[in-house]
Amino acid sequence: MTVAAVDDLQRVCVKIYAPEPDFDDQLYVPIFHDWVRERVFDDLILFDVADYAHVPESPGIVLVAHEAHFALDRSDGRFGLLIQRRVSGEGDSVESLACLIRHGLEVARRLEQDGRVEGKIAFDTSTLRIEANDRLRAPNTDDGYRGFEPIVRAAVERAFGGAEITLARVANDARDRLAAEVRITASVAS
Amino acid sequence: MDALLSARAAAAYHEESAMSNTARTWKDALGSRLPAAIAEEIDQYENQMELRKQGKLGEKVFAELRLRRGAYGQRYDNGHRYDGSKTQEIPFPRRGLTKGPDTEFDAPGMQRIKIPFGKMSAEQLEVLADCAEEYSNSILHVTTRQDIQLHFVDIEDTPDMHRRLGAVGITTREACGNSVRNVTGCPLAGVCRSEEFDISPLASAEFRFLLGHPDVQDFGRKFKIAYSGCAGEGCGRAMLHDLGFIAARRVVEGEEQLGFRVVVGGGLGPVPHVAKELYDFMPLKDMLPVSQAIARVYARLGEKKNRAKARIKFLVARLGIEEFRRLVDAELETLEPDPRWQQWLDEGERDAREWSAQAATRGDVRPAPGFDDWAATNVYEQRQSGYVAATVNLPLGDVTSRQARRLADIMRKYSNEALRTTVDQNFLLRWVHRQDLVGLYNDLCEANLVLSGAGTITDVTSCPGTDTCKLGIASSRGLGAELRARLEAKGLQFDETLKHVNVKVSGCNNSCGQHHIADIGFYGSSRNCGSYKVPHFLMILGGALEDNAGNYGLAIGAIPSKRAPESVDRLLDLYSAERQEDEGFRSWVMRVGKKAIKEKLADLMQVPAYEEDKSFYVDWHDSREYSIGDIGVGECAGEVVSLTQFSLASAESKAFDASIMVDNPAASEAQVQEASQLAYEAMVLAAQGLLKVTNPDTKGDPASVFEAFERQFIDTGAFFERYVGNQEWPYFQAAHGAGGESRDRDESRRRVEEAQLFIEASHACYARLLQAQSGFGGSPVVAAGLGV
Repeated sequence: MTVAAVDDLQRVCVKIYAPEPDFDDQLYVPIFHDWVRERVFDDLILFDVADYAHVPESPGIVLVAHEAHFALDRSDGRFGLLIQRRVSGEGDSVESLACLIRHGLEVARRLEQDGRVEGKIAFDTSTLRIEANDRLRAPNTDDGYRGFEPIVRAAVERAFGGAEITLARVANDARDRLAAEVRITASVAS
Repeated sequence: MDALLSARAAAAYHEESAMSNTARTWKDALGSRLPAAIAEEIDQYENQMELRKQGKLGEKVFAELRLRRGAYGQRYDNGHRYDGSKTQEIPFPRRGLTKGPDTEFDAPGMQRIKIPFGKMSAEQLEVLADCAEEYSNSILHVTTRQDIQLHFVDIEDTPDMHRRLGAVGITTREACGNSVRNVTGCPLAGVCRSEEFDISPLASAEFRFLLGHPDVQDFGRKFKIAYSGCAGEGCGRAMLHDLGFIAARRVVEGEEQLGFRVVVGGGLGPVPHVAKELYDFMPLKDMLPVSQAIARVYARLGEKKNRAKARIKFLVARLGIEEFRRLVDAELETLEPDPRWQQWLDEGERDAREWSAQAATRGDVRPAPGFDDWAATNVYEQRQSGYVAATVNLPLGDVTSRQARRLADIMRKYSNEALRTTVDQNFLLRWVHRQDLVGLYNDLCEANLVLSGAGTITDVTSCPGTDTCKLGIASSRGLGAELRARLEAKGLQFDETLKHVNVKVSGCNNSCGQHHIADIGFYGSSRNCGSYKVPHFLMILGGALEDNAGNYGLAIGAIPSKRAPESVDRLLDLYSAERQEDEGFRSWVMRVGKKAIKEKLADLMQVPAYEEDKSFYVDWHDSREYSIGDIGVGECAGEVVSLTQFSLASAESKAFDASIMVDNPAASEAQVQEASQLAYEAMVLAAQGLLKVTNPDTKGDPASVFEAFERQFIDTGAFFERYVGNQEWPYFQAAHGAGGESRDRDESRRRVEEAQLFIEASHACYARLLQAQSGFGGSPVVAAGLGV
């Protein structure tokens, strides 16, 4: 079994989906630059904005932090905020993932509330895609999923304050990241 | 597309997964898949990193060690970032721990990965995709030298990345640093209709022979090698390389011999040199010893201290090609015969082998929409009957990890895994059965990889520029993306007149975007307007890809970044209206003359006042104010400013006149000398302009200007900033020392380039003086007596 190996899982991604917005991706550029300048998050070291909007089904516009990339991503064919951990976080695998989810929710909330796109973008925080971005510790196999699933469940419960969740493995190319889709059906707090 | 996943690929992945059930590190997991020598090198590198973290290895030494593993720096890695109004410190967790001088350890970097002559297998592409996904941001970037680059990489991840790449036969060794970089070659080699013969095995042998060779470890700078299959086309670009091989044939005593014309000392960069012919013909069997002899001469006699003069092009220019040839010939005599010369040639034959694919479809599928347009621009008829090569056009050289995996499937299905990266930042699928073309297109469609216009005007080349490069001055990718979008919207990739015009953009004068060889080239620059800085691009006209990129263009003037697309539109309109029958863009430029063209673009070179249009003060795809806009300039300084700007403008005008003169192939010897004099006078004018900041009455005779400039700007250090001034000052010294004269046309041409660079450095120095006068000055300026 791979459970022991997945104890060290730090390299993870979270995607929060949203309906495709009806405005140009370039609108995110000034928003993210302003966030970097104003240091809007206490616990994230923001320092760059990357632009891949010219590439189809790409990470699009990316807010780069020391801790993670925050991308307005379409790589799986659906629009959403993809949060990819860059460096190891504090705590074990569960805490690291829970922390990344919280960061993702905070960035999504702040984006929704930015005056330049307010009312034009709405993230669905009741469904998350969570990916293991580490083919060594969490390969995209049945065994890999068995080791990954309890971490995802515990992290989501922690991030959503004891939510009721349903979890399903995403059927994808064996070479893609191991992924789970999480539905949050009820939440005590977020 | 899932159905395309071959059993072989799936098996390999499951095998890797099974290994990882017990392995906790990639080192353990890969085990014997990694050759022992490579494993040892990477272990050493990992140890060196650990020693650096413990402070037991100096930052300079570690910097060179990581560079030789291809782990490069990236923008903002000094821990500072300009936010549009001020420079802020980036509070990286281990602030002060460095991985090189002024380079924060925790700052992300760029990983360059060598792909010799662009050839890669499906498995290699898949592993690259995995690495991009896990260690970068899921984007693989193809460079103009057929490398792959990943950005935003944490240095702590690089040893594992190197192991995973090494396990499938990819190396990052000597991808950066003062070493032999990737060996490039025509992407069409082996299937080209106009080549003399397939250069792929030779390029492979060269790469293998020189990788880690003791004779290439003591260079003063990098060393780039290219192989070209013919003399006439531009795919191999041998003439812009330190060492170029151009395939040739000759008949000796009735017997045909294959070999190469050997050229040396080419290079772009701030001062471009066209390579010189070292040998008109060299038999294939002698290629590796010749390369080794050249490397030994360069290592022994090349400049080591002054980086700006350390490329082999400067050595060749200094010695002259005859003396350089004599030295190489003498070196060849001293070489002990090495059995590896033949061994590498044999292995090169094996490495480069490709074979025709069996048809994968019956050819009866219906094409998805857009097939005809795509086929018109992206498909090349191979010389082998029944086969085509298809270009996967990548916008600005970027492809996602998922697209790369789908492409790996497509390679397996249609091309027997024959794929090359191209010098135009694309992928080329080779050996596709003609019958499969529609099937291939349909599968590429599913992967969103069917952008038409490959190799046309819309296929704009761009270096990373200010997006990620530490040296970038303007947003080359921003402009590149903008130009692509606008030209595609007009459908110019299908316009019979305009589609052949090529456009290349660099973020600075170091030429990674290869702007000198474009019909329309741009490189980033900064200009002052009032108290603000404005992003600009120098427009270069008159370059050409043909003849192995042996004709370089020259700057006609600086265009504000935001007007660069409009300037392209106008140029194309002028060309369309004025061209004579079948006249190419470069021929039109040469016939009409850059002076006349510049006049017609003059209005586009103007910058509206900040209050009138702030958008000019922000670069493409950015929102930060480009200039330090909150710094004001007093009225008194304002008067002085106008005098200085006037001198700088006059200097630019003189440099432009010189460029027109030296660019004329029919120029007489006297005109060549006059161009050199004009270039020198331009430098004097620029220096005089700077002197006018404190003394508006500065005299203009060259001797006085030179003496005062040296005393006031050089001795005090005021002319120098991190990347500016150190190479430009010697240009002025050399021109002054020669009294403005040049030995020949080449030197005259270089002097013109150098004058332009000296003027650029003067602009930068002037900007710093303005800052100093506004109370934000640095000490050298104050030390020069220039502070307020």
